[in-house]
Amino acid sequence: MNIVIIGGGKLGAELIDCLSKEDHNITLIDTNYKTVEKFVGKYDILGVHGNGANIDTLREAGIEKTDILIAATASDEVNVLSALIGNKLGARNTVVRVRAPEYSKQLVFMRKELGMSMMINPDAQAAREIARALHSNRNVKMESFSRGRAELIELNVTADFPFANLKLMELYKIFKFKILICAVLRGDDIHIPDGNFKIEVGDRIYVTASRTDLNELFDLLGFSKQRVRSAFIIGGGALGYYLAKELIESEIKVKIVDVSEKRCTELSELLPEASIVCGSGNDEELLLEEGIDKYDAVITLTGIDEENIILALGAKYMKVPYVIAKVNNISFIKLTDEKIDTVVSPKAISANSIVKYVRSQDENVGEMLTFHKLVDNMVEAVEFVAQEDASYLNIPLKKLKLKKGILIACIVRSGKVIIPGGDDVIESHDNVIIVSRDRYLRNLEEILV
Amino acid sequence: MNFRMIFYVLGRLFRVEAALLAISLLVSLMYGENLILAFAVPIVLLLVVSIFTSRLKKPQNARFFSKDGFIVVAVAWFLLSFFGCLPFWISREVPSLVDCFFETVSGFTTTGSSVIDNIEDLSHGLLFWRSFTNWIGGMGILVFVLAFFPEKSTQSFHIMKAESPGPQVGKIVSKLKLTARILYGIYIAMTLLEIFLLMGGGMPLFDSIVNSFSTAGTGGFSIKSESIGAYNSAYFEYVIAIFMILFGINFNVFYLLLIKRFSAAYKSEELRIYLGIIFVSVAVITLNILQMYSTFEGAFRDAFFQVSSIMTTTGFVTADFDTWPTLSKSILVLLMVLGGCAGSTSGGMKISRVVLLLKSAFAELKRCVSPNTVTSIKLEGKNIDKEAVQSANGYLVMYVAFLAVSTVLVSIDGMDFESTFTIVVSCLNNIGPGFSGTGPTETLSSLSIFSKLVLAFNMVVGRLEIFPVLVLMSPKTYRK
Repeated sequence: MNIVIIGGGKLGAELIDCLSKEDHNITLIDTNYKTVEKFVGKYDILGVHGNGANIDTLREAGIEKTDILIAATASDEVNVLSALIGNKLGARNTVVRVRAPEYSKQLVFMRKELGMSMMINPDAQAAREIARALHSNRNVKMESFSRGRAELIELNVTADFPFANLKLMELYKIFKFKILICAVLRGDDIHIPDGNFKIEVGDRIYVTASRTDLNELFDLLGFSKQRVRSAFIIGGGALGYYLAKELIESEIKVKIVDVSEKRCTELSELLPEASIVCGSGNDEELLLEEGIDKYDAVITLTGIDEENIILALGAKYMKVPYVIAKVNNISFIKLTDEKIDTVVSPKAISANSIVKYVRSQDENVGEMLTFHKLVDNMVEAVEFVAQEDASYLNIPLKKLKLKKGILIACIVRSGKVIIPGGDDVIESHDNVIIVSRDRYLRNLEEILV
Repeated sequence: MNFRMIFYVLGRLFRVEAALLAISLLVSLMYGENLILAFAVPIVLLLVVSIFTSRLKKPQNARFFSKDGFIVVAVAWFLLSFFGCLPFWISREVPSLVDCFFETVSGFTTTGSSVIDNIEDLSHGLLFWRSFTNWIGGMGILVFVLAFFPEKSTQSFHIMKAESPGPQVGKIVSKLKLTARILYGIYIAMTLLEIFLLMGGGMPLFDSIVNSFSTAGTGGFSIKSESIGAYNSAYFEYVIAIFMILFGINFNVFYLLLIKRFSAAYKSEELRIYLGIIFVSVAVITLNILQMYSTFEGAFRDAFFQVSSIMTTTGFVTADFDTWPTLSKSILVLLMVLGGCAGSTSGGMKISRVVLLLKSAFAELKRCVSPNTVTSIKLEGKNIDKEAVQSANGYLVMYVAFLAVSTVLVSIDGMDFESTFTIVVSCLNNIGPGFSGTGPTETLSSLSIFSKLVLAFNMVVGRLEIFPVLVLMSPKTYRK
């Protein structure tokens, strides 16, 4: 498909990284010449230097033949304007990023009246993700499929795990509940394991299971089940605001610390039920005075990744049960994962929903329900619906010849979660969750050799 | 610096060269010649070397930066020429290895200077290979590999940028592979058209093919010692002259025509200047040489052909322009340096670069008159940033430096100044013939080995537009 991306900033960069691997014709528009040069040199895309709301620039980028126009500049107004003009000039679909909280209530109106296909509010999305993580009661990174019936979790194997140093075949025999280890990250290598694969201490494993089975696993591993009743948020920007709002609605006690007095005043007006404290997150005395160590969860949301990481580590040191940090830069995320419970990347979340939208617009893509990217975008977990008359139906899985690096992680049939063994089959209308390494799957047929 | 990636790309390249040599071998077999050993040896060598260099399949670390692009291109062109010269040497039809190397470099860089006195005695297979090098070198062999070899070409843009001529290289469409294919598609189509038109005029098939190869790459290798003049046909001369001009046009313009954006093509600043210069030069030279000819048409035809040939840096010859008056010869030297359009197969400094330099110089002039003026330079209606201007200025300085030093080195041979200087200009700009002792009716076989090597080096420098070779030779490249 022909995709035009306006704005080579954080979101734009992430989108180019994901979409350029998926065989689309991508054009980047940016006002900074160097940014354009950099991306054209690094990815197989076309670059146009100019303003995305400018008709000539859009024409030069081939707007008449564009299937999806994605407006991701730093300015909401430019995004909306570019999308409006792009739409009129012939772009079939438009995706617009609008961040400002002032517009958050009117997003639906704007989308419908102005004819845009999708509006993205990264901060609101990220806030929902964080709230969801807090509600899950376990401090483990989780992605859901099939409307929450099947979960994929990420675990770091420590020495006290009962299955460290076991082969997968043996592991499955020990447990009474069914789980499937679908991907293992060891060092920098990702493995899609078979029965002979041995789990070692220090591996990061990705496990699929139904929710109930997962709870059993957590109990077995001694993970605490703790309801989050209070949350301490450092950083009162848009994300902090949306998160506070969500949490307050779930009756969680919220305290926000922000360094700007003006912002604190605004927040106190917007969120009367939250405690607002004016001060710097770097001030340990202040944090202790405000009782940070007594909160169930600490969420660091300042504008700077590095600060968020340090503050989160500090909170962990103070033994706060659940710590979440906002880290956008993917290379930092690798460094932090051991210590911090959950790391949230708003740009990755937005990029993910946009990529999902792009795939849904692609006629060649089969019916895809969910997809998540794991392990620094190197592994994908995708949920497809099995079609009638497909060639893979009703064949025992052990007889199916799959391509390398692909695993059928889970089948959901009529609401029931099946962790597949060699004798299971795929029936039509099943939801099938596939884990694949380095490969972009467009539909279920592509898993077969 | 990513050595593994560089070797990997070179490996793929060697396989392509082996395939191209195989085609020439087939041609020689069709003519019943016995060149099997001459071609088989380099083919086998290339395949063996390519297995060693590409053994690691695609390396894990596929990071490829601008510097790597330059190095790959520079190394590739020297190695390609070395392996490509083996058929000539092994078959003993060209006895001296240096001569073989010179001829092959001259072929790939589309210069077209020849050190072979007895062209017409060479076997068909070798003549085919010789002109084929013109064709491949014109559009670029690395671009050829990018176009036709299944590979996710993410960072190959740096390779294309290093090999393709012009002050600013860009893609035509998003995907590099598609861009390369479009370019080659247009290139092949035009070559076939020329072959067809030449055959239609009565030229034998073999001649039509090799002459079209040579025209397309704006190389100038002819299978006749008197070049195109040997055919004595006005039709052939006009057809070839027109095609030379066509191949000197920026291929982006052809693409615009293909996607029916006619007005954009028509408005191309570079195209207009290019055609304008051709028009004016032909006019002036025709009038200047009129007294030497019996008909107006004769003078016009020779002027038109030579201007087209020299401006596009092809180097085909239909008249001994060495005997022309100095005015005409001076214009020709100027055209030699100017070259054709960027994004075409021609050599020289390229019109868009010269225009850029002139505009930048005029901007300086404005600043002399009014020191506080702020100017911006535009090319094809787009603003050119300071770095592109700097780059063009740097190019000019390096160009003059190479010209000066090489002239001094070649002068060791003891020829007169005109011959020495013009042959250096000719090789640096990939044209072919010089003037006087190195002129269109002479061959370069009498030059010393040293001079031949200097000139061959200049040919590669000129074709790759200087910087890739400098990057290859500079110690800074290899420091951490």
